[in-house]
Amino acid sequence: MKAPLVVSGLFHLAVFLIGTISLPYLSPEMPMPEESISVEILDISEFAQTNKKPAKAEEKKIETPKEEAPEPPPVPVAPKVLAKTPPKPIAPAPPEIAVDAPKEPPPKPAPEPKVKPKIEKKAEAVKEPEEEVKPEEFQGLLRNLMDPPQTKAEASKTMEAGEEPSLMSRFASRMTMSEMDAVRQQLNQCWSVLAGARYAENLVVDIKLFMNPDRTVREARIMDQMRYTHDSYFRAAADSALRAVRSPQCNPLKLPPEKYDLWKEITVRFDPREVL
Amino acid sequence: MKFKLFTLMFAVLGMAMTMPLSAQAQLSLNVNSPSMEKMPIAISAFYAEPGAQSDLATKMPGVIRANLESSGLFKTIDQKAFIQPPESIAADGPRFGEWRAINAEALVTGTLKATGDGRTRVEFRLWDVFGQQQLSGMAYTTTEENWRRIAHIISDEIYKRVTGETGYFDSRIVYIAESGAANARMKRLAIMDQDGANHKYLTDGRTLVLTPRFSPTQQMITYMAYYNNRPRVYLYNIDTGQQEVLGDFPNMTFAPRFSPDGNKVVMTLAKNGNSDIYVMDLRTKRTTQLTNHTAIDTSPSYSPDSKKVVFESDRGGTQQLYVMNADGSGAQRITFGNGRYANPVWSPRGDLIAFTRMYQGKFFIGVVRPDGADERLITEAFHVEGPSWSPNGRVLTYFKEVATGRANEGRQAKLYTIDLTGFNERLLATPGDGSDPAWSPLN
Repeated sequence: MKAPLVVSGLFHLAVFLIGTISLPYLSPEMPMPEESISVEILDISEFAQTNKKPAKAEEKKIETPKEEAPEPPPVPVAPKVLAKTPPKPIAPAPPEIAVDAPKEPPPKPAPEPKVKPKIEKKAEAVKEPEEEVKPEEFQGLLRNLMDPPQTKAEASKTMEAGEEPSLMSRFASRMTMSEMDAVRQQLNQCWSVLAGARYAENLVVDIKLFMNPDRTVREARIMDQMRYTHDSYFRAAADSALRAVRSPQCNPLKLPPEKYDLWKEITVRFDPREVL
Repeated sequence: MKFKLFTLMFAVLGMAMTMPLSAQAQLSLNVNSPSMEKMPIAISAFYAEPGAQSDLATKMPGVIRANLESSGLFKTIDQKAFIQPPESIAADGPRFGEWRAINAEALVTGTLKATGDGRTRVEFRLWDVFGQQQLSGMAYTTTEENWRRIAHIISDEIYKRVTGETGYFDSRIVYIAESGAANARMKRLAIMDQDGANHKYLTDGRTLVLTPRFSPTQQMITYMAYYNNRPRVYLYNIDTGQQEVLGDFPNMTFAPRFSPDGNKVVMTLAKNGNSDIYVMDLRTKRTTQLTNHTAIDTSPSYSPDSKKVVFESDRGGTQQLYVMNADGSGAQRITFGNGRYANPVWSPRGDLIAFTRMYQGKFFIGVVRPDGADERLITEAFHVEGPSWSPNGRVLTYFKEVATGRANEGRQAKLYTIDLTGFNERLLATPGDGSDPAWSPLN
């Protein structure tokens, strides 16, 4: 009775050891071929074109799912949505009163237009329900990452804002430099800042993007909410970054569709210090 | 024992299985080359409810449009491109898709309602088109003749929400209106809104007036006038029209400027052929000498925190800018360029000092950091002088003078504004010639 158990145990151990020792060397088999092809043979512009087509195709698909209007659940990260609802409120505001969006409770018409677009995006996201769950799993991990990105990016600004520690990436395929450059370039084009901003040196904004599989942005979240609420300069800078990630020119982003797992969450650091 | 080993093995295995999951690292990108484009903004005509002043529904957005456009930070979208009419916005809210289709990143909408007492209630909203949410909303009830001012206040609100900085549209500019032949110039004190509207003269032109300066805290001007051929510094309350001489000094006083709290005036006093800087407390009328040097020290201007004063001096051999503590101690030279530096003015936001520089036969307006770093010359002309900051420190106004006539015997002076980046220079329309502009604080 015990013998089989022991054998089984040893067998499992062996599998595990083989896995940890030899997998890293075997891993090139994985999606590596794809990488090398896209990196070395295509230049960025060609690469961008190859991406565009799929994008259109997917956009068309969207329309059908729209009618299903099925999945409210995919919206794991709701806070923004709530903030958006308050639009049309103020009808009976008293004179000389500042009516901030948040203050206004009775939403009128604007909520509806909002909901629709949301649903479209969600519908896209719906394709792979499992993935919706994952963002949440990652949130715990992300909390740890929130600090590192800041120091990391500062320390190695010239380097690629790159991925996670490379030992981890042995197990997964990676974004190539040119793939990341393509997205970076696209975001640069969508992002415009107003000249002459004050305190430009402190206006670095980190935004976390939750992506749909069709490479559109499902949700964008300012990491430093505290500062967003209290610092009007930062808020203006953060808004310009938000406009960039929500802009039609940046949706969809030029990401490799097959690597959704790698980019379903993206942290983007918008750093205007070099130009302001 | 074996059982423990067994569980341990499974635990290890379990961990190993989960590792690849965490290996799906989150992608992070560093984006650092934004464009410096103007923000495309759509300013819809307001919706006038029945009974409301319907002409304001287009006039107010017109003023807002001109304000935002003049700041150089916004690109207003041509109304002909608008799809959704004001009444539809008022009834259903903005249809963001339609505004996105014309590339508007922000949208301004408004409603006018007549209140029972003959006044008008103006509501405005600023929308984030991509984010599909309201960024700002305000409501004002006012009499009809105030509509321009409300439009300026709304412009400031939009500017503030988008740039993070306070606006400057609800402000005025006082300047010296000039008329007549070059050898018999009439110089009058005049005031207008920052966009040139509501122009009026404050003095009759019988006395020569120079260097008007606004109090940073109230609607009060200090200026120099030659009354009975004696130059003195005067105070003028714009709201009441009241004037008074600021101290009766036996000698010549000039280059007056208020302290940031409006309680003091710092100025130059010429005694026995030597000019030094003095400060007068307006409440006690007590005067304190700040500099005591055989060189000419003049044109003082306080930092916004009142701790420092920048001034011009030729104590180093050429006319350069110096910064000293507010008590007159620790003067340090901050400019070292060729030519002469004059008229330093500390920006209300504290980060820059504007000045006039004369160099190689030309005049320039420039800005420099208070420690002397990053000097930039942002405009030049045959004669350009007298920079004055907008209340938010984003824009400068100054005057440019050009020679006219066949033998260059005439002079034409006009007021201009420029963004501190050095782009977007604009002529400020005045009925005649103008010089020495001074920007008011926000109304």
